[in-house]
Amino acid sequence: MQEITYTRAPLPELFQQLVTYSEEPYCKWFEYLSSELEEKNESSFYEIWEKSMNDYLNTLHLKENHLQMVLDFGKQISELHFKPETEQMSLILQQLICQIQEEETALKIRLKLCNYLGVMSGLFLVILLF
Amino acid sequence: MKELQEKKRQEQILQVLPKTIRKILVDERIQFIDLQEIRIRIGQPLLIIYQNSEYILPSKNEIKHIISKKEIKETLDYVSNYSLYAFENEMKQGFITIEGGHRVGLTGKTIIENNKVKNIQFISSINIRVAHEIIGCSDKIIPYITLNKQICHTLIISPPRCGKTTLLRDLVRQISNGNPYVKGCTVGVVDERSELGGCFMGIAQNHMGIRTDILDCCPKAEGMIMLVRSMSPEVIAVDEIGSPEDIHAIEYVMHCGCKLIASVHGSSIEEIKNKPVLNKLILEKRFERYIVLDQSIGVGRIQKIFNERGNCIFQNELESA
Repeated sequence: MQEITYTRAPLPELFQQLVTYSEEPYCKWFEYLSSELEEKNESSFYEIWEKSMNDYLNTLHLKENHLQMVLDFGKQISELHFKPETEQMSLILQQLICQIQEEETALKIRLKLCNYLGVMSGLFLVILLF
Repeated sequence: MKELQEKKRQEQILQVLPKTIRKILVDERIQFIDLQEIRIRIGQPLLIIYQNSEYILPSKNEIKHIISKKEIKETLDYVSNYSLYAFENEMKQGFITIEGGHRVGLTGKTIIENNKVKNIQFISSINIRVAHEIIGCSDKIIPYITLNKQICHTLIISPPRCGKTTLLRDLVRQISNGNPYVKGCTVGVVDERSELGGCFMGIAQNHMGIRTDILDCCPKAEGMIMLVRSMSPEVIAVDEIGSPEDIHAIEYVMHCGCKLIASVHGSSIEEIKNKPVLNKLILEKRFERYIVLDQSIGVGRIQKIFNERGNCIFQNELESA
């Protein structure tokens, strides 16, 4: 967000910068986005974003609502012209961060539950065998 | 060389246009070197200014192409690299400079803040003005504005669309590179509207010479002082001076030992003398040469050159006849 609001770097440049910081499959996704935007062959940013998600993020098996959130984020970027929109984008980013935190908390609980279930199943098996 | 230039210009212009318009222009088989303007307006036909004449495209079809809202959006996306936010400062001035120094003018609904244009939204018209620099257009005047291989403080006086920016650009190139009349000097250019250098991502797209430093999109007064402090230029060039801040900065630059070349809107020295802000500079004989351009004898034609005392040292043959 700082790159957008402060240095005003254009999107292809931003995605190219992200390539170096990110891992698979994100780096390939950002690389594709950067090159497609430079090519100027698709009519809108949102079309490129949507296509790139289908091609590069399908291995992540994201839930429907999470996919929608990322799609909406792309829509927001495509309409990013003025200050109020950057503020709106910050809000969406905040929502995404909250969602990630919620998922991480849920993941921890599920992991704990799995561990307990594993131990309990083991104990149950031991009782059954003896 | 000319073919290469034509191909490059074609690529630069076509890449910012929607596919539909690209196809129409390619089918027209026009020479992009002679293309002057492309006008795109929502709900209106596609217009071009080519070889000084206006054409509605496709020229051979009776049914003309009508510009849609989607095509305007697509053009804007391409012009701004899908990043309009990155051009907010340029949009305040009503245009964006693209690769090649071509200027994309925009109109729509302006957003006002503190009585100043903050941005433009709902863009409905786009005008792509193809950059045409004329190398060597200042050849004739260089001998008149130099003394002992040094450039004189020079003011170019010209009405709009008479080629003052083109002339100033070529002067900068010649002074920077050096020629038999003037030794190559470090030239600092304050290019408030990206007209001189036609900078794209900070890099000049026009030939500005080997010793030229450009401050792009920088207010003139602030830029002149910045250049003196940071780049130690021997000559400073600015386009369209006129505000009290500009005059203060010009005085500062001249006191620092830099030579100044500037342009101003006007049709004669008398008219400039009537402008309260510029009058002071003329009365104090700050400028050593005045170049007056006049459209009546053709775009870019020099009408007269005066010295600091107001004596004519050059007069166009057509004018004197």
